[in-house]
Amino acid sequence: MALFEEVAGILREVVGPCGGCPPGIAPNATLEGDLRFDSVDVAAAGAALARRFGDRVDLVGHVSGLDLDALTGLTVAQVVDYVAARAA
Amino acid sequence: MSRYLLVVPPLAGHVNPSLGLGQALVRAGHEVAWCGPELHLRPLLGAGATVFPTGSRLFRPQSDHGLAAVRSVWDRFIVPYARFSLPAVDKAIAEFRPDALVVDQHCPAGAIAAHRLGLPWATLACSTMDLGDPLAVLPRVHEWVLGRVRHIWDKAGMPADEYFDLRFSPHLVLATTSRELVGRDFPEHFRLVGPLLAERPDQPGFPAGWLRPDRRRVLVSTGTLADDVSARFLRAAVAALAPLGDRLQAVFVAPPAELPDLPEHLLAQARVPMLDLLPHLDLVVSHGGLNTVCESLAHGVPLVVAPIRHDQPINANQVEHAGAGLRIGFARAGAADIRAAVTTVLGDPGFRVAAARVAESFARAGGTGAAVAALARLTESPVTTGPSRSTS
Repeated sequence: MALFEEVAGILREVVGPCGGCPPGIAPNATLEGDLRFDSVDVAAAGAALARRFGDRVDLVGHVSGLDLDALTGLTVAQVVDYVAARAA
Repeated sequence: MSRYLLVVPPLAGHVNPSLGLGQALVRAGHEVAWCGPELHLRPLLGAGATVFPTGSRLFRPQSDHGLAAVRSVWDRFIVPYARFSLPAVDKAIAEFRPDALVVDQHCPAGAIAAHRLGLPWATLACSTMDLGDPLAVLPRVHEWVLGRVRHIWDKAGMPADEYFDLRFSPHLVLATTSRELVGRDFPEHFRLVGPLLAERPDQPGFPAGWLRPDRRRVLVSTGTLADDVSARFLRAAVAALAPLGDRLQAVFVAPPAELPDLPEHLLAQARVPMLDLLPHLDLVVSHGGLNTVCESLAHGVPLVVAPIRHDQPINANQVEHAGAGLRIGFARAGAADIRAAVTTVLGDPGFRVAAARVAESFARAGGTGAAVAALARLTESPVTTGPSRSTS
């Protein structure tokens, strides 16, 4: 759970104040659909995650290997799992 | 004199450039007709245009963004529209007997029809989504798009061994941008001609006396969308610009009922005479459709781009890279973000200088004149790929 909070905090940073509406970073929230991530956001989150967890965490590289379904359905929990696997 | 058939989708950002091209072809003594849904085309093309109708059918509105929008534009629009319109394109060719076709990049039916008859044809790319394959950084998404193109080919009963990427004519690809803006080179048969500006029929009026000479002028347009995110952005933009009445005026392209109680220096109008207004503007805030971006830059007007979907993030990055504006987040930018971007661009003449540089690149690219010349060469030279049944 500690890792989830840490990753969620980084994602929350990228999402920002959302024009006044605080975003809920739930495990099943999708980056693209729920958090409205675009490619710039993915790059920003990737850079922040690599700074915190090391260069083996390469979110942009990970995302570039996914197919359309996996990309549009990518959730916060899946990002946490990816970070856990790479940072281990 | 040649006859050109322009195959277009029912989208203003695609029909408008085709109108600019059509008007230039007519001025050069050629004959022009359009093929597409007349219900959508007629108001944009005017009463005088020859339109071979495909009929209209409802396509589900696209409220997706990001990569989900890549899927929906192909699955809900490009693929069904190609299948639905192919018989109408065949019929238009039989009746109009064109010497060449100009096929919008998102109307593969025109590509199939032209290829089948061995007619010369050019692609007209009015979007950067399929120009230089920006999706190549996501190889499996790129593969998926090519799968949809192949699906259209197969469903049309075309021979497998003649398959080619229908998004690109092997003879000529006209794109409404410039090499300087895209920032890379293209194959020999690509002509990046810049925006194809048209004299548009039935333009709405604008209160001529409203603009004040002692204020900077901003136009805010998020296209023809009407979803909740768009409404949120417009309200945030109003809140951003409301305290700036001492230095600017802003026109919102939105139904006035959606933005009630505007202060005196803000004005909402459902439609505006864009090309007449642009010479008087200092900044355009836009979702970043290529049509709006290039029309603004052609007039040397810098932009703040808040991209939503399709090629808009690509266009936003190109504008920023060219130094001609800033990109902000469409879904999340609040009033403070929008105000900061607007005051930054208005406050630094460098943005206007960079926009003027892009305008010069458009002028060098040649616009409608260069497109007409390239099409004339296309119809004069024999087509190298013959009719598909030529071997029998």
